[in-house]
Amino acid sequence: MDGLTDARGQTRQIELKMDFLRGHQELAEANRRLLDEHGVTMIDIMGSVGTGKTSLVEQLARRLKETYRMLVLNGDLATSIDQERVLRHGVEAVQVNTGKECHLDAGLVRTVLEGLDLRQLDLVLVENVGNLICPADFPLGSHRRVVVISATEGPFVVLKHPHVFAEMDFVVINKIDLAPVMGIDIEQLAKDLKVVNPLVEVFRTSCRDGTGIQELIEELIEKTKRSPDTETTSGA
Amino acid sequence: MHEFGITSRIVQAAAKAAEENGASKVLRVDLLIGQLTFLSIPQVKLAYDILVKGTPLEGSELAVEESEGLARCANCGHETPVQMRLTEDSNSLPGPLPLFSCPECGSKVDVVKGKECQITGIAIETL
Repeated sequence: MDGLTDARGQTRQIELKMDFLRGHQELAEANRRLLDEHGVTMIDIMGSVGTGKTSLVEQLARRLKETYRMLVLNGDLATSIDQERVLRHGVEAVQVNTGKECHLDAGLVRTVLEGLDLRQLDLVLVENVGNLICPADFPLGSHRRVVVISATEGPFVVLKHPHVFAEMDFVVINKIDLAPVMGIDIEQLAKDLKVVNPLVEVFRTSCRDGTGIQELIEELIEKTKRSPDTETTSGA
Repeated sequence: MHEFGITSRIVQAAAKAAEENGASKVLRVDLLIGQLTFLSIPQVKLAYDILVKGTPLEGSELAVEESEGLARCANCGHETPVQMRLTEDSNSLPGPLPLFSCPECGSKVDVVKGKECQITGIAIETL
């Protein structure tokens, strides 16, 4: 610095250690503790716009509502369209509109959780904002993280978005009924997933006709209810 | 990544730390950014210059140190630098892409280094 600096005062070096990405992870861990204290299982469902996240949530709601006391948290930029789609199955749903924010975060989810009587719940399904990039960096404290992709997103969707898949526990390849007409090789998508995440569990579904949903429920919901503590890879 | 939002929090935290230490001016903020955060350092610096205008941080230097990624295999414990490219036997699409599986045993690796986004220190001037 110049001579003026010395004339005006002393300079000091202060050592600090403040991490700005770690903060989200800590909020997520606090959410997980809150859920675990009340025996509530939470699943974070992510994916691009139009892959069938809400259709999957509807399938799960229809088949699980008699077994579990459940709630759906619908994240979206605007409208309550998704919430209304869930409500018509007789399942409680909370809409969170994020404006232009492209992902939910642990703080937003915390606000919703604190407004609920968690003693009255067994299962929370979070439908994240439609986006294949940003939500991966913002763990919510869920017990499992799932991405829904579909046969309509082209053949390179996995390799072009490796980061989100590397963080996931489950990937659902939806709209398999459309694969022939779209010219998509579902098994190649599954192979690509194993390249970016050798441990990810892959499911093939059609939420329109219900194909593959029961198998997904057993692995994603029932097994998680039985042993919720398996570490997710979030924030690794 | 969300460079502007993250930089905004960095500026706020640095300003708070400076105030708590009786700074009249901040000369430098030291930042450690891991390559696996995929934060763009030029974008962070641009956001910093915009955000510090009119604050005690105006005119300060943002000194960024980068850390390279390191992964440890959850299965065999093998440590490997996280390579920013695809393996030869997988699809060869262009662009940086880290390797997510262990080169020794093929299992999933945990990232143990390279995801930092830390203020490691500040240099201040006191009256």
